Amino acid sequence: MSNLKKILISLTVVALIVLSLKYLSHKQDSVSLSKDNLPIIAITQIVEHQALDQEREGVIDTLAKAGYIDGQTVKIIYQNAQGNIGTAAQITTQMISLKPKLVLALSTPSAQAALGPCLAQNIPLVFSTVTDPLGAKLVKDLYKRTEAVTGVSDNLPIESQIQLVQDFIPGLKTLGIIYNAGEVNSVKMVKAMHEEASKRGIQIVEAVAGKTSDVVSAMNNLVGKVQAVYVPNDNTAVAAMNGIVQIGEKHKLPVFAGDTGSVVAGAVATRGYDRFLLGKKAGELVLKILNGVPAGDLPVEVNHPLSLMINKDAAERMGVTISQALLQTATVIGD
Amino acid sequence: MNWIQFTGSVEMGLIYSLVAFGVYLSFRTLQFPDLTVDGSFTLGAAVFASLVTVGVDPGIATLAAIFSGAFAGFVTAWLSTHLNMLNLLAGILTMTALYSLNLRIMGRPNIALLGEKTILTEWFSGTTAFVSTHFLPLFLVTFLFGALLYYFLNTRLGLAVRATGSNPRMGRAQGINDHKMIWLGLSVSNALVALAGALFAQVHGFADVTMGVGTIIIGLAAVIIGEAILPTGTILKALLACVIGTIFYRLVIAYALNVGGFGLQASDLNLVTAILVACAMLLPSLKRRVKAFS
Repeated sequence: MSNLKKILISLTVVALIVLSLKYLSHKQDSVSLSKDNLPIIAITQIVEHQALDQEREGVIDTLAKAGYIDGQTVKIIYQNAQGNIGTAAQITTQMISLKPKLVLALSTPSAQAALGPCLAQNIPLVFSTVTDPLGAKLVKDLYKRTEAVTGVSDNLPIESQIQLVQDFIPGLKTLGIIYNAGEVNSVKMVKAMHEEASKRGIQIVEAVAGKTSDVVSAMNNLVGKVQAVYVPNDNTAVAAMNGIVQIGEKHKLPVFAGDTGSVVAGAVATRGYDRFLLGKKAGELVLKILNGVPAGDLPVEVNHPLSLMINKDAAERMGVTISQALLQTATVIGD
Repeated sequence: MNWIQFTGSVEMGLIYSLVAFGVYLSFRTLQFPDLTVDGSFTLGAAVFASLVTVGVDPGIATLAAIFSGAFAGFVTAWLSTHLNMLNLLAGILTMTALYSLNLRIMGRPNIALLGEKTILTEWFSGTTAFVSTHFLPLFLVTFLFGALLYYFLNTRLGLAVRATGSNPRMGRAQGINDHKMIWLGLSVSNALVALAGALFAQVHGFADVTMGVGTIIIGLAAVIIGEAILPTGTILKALLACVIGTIFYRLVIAYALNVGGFGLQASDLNLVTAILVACAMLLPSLKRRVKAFS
């Protein structure tokens, strides 16, 4: 008797699961195909982060200006892996299954997870916020193109970064860097920075932070050892920018950064890329592909205009004097 | 959810089933809450990727990944048994050390494997089942290691490991060296997890130092969900529950990715996943209530 009951209950449960799956799949199909087969643009992003979000907005803005408006002429599907690489891989599967016109991947791991499936299904892949597309094996060559993969590389010229600090601190001899040794972009940058600094007779002192909560102690470690601190475009360090700035102000240790968001948060200055602008460049690549240009014909975008941004308030609090010449060429905030 | 997405989730579930096996062995069999797995998952991928990129045969590289995981598990067990360290702390320490170690092994935080040989390209090239080239090899690997684990847990040695977990004092009275059993159990557990990491790297074409984050949570969730769905009276059923639980968890994530509407946005993914799993966990208690009424 109890056996019979068990069987009945399990059968009911199975039936319920099957029915709900069927209902869900039906519903899913109706969602994705509801707007009369609008072309789908799929965006996959590894984590919520200011730089990544700004680029995504840049892309969507460019598309909208060209008449590709989400829900009207095109369907934009955006998924975020919330920091989990396993989820990023699953997101790719989901996107591929919807047969999009192209996949846009923001960040290196998202692009790597999307690469295999996209190549297998002949779906063009556009990447952005990737510093080293060659090292990540996303493309074989930046200019001579074959595969249907292209994108925007945000590799910053290293000279410009050390020059930035030298512009503000003329007698620079020691420079501290805070970064996460687990971020591929940062590691590559710090390595190049060592080379460039030794050419200029500057000593680099590294402070490594494995996670955001370690950043403050890394910064404390640099106090008294260096004349200035540079924070590259490192997701971990940038996330704790406020903590870095507080210590910098307390000890009059000037902080420079690799992105504009950090200057808004209180770093003295940055010379770098406008993320929204990079997003627009990625958006233009997307547009070209939508208009029928094969992705394999589009070279990877590498050189972008650099812009100087100064936070006057922060400079005062960290005891940095700024020359008029610099102020004239820069976007100045915090007056 | 369509067919591609379904098979994609099942594939991912098959990979993480090995993690669930490992977690089942440490948490359930040995009663040892072992957090090493966040590190050993990445370790497996790191060892595999570094070896394959210097031209080592992918089969040997995978084997090396398995042994590296076993070693990581051994370290945790040794810290616990010989330094009398709290189990949780021992696992946390190994996991923390592994982060730096994985960076050392890889030499950089991310290794791309596109164009490198993997066991998928070498041993299973051209096999297609259910519109996917990965399904069959992953199924075979999971089945093979599940069967091996089942066999192991039923040998005299495996029984000794189980006895150590359920009653260490009684085990000692029967002449079982419980320290050695913990070493063995955790080594096997982490070897399975490292294998999962190596497989992940091969299927998805890259190893990244952050890829292990949250592995323990996924493994644990899978074990518990599996237990809720299937009765787990015997080892065979328990291992089956691990596989079912992991695949179910992956299907839930796949479904959560599809939930549009209701004002949900992409950043709600983890919340939706959690709520769906919570709902699924209600099933057994509902089942009990239905039983109580009838």
